[in-house]
Amino acid sequence: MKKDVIILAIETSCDDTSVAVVRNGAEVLSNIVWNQNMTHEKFGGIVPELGARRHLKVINYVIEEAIKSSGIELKDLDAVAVNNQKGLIRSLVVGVAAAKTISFSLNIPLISVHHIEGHIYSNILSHPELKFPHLCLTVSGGHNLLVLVNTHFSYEIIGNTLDDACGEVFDKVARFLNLGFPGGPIIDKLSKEGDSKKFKFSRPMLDQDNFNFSFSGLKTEITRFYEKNKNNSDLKIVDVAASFQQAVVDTLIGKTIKAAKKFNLTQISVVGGVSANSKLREDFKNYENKFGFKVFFPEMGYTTDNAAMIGAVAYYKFLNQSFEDLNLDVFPNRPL
Amino acid sequence: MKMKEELKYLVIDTSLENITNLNLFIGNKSTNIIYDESRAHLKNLILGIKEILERSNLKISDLNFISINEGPGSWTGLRIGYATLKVFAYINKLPLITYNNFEIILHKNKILNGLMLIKSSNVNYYFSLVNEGEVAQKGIIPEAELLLKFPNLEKFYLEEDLKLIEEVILQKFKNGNFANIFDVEPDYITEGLIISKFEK
Repeated sequence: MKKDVIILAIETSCDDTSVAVVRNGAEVLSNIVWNQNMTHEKFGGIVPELGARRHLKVINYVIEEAIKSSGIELKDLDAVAVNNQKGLIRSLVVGVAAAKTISFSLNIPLISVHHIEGHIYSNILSHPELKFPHLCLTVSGGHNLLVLVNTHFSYEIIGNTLDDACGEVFDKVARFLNLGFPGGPIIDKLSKEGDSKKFKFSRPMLDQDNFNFSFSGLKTEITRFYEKNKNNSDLKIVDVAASFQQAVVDTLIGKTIKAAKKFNLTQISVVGGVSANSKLREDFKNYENKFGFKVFFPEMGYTTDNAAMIGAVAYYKFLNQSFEDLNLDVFPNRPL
Repeated sequence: MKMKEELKYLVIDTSLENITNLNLFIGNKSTNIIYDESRAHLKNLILGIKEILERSNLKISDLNFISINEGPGSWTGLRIGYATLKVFAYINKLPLITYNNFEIILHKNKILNGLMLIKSSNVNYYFSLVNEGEVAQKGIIPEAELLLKFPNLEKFYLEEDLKLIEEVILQKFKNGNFANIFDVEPDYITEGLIISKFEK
């Protein structure tokens, strides 16, 4: 059997078109991401049909760039992998159609990956020292989950959001405050100049005996607070941003530590777009010594949607010979 | 014995939501595979391409070019067809030729002045207005508004005719009219939604 396994991975679930070439699930030879922020920012949120059109428009550019910058040739590919589970259906179909076409054309196996599974592996990709079992907090615009990761492909969801994911709330609050899109990075940056203790907003569901989340109430609290106080000349947006951000960070960390204690896990993996948040990283690290766990964050390029993480999962599926037929379809809402 | 000069090409049509239509031409003879299944383009298209080639004992490398219906039609159907064929063209280094449903109507009817119509949904039509032989306007119009908006124009509808499609495609091949496989997109027709009842 060939020693090196080189996989072309494709990810088009939302508003990033990404293609990567990954060797042995660990060495990222290329990871190209074409982001659509400019398409959607004037709407303050993602418009699915526009997003889907962008994926189709750029797909060959991204594939070509991924191959060219990887240093390998098409004939060197051992398999092609794609996220076909979880995402916006109109966007997913572009990546899946591309992957099936590549599989058929090059006569190489086709591997399907779940989007959230990809995020879970973004940390396994970044940190070989991260072992099984571990606890994974997946936080992004579309997902807010606590997952027990027992071993390869063995996951148990112990907590989920009952309404908005925290990343979505960052976007909505930023839109409401006219700060721009996407909200997360903008609020992160502004918060550095603000006082996170100035306003004590709720830490939703932190006192409840479960691992679920709910952020739409916090979102309403912020908007009502701002409406009430916006004409107050002392009010600084940076303080509102920082205090809001702190409320989210405290909630995420609080719930996660509680789960780690309950399930006796000392390794915590935080993944997804919101894992790029600097306050979340800083505060989590500060808790490490206090509570005796180790927290892992992906390298910055792997926090948001990317194909390299799909390639990482796919390697282990390749070893398992978990391949798909050419009648592969999309399952946009399939649970992990 | 097959003549080496015979052109071999695939013609794919995913512009209808529930029909995946594949034709393989070897010279002027064609074989056909149709899937009549709602929302199944993604599931069926590549399998259909594999099957239609196998039935004629052809390899991908035997093809001279591939061709796809640009629409207008179902956005999702077109998207899946285009994603498949754009990548197919890139990976297999094949030229891609696109043809438009309005082109087919024009090719058959040689219209000077008239209105070309393609059903888009139960209530809407894609339309293309031809004025002195030139396309003047394109858009989407509810059927109920058709007579109100364009009362005196002769109307031309799309008819399924593989021969017309073959002629249009071969003409483009002869002229070297190939698509840019990086940038090419379907004909979404988003301009000109006319709903005169509700126009303010």
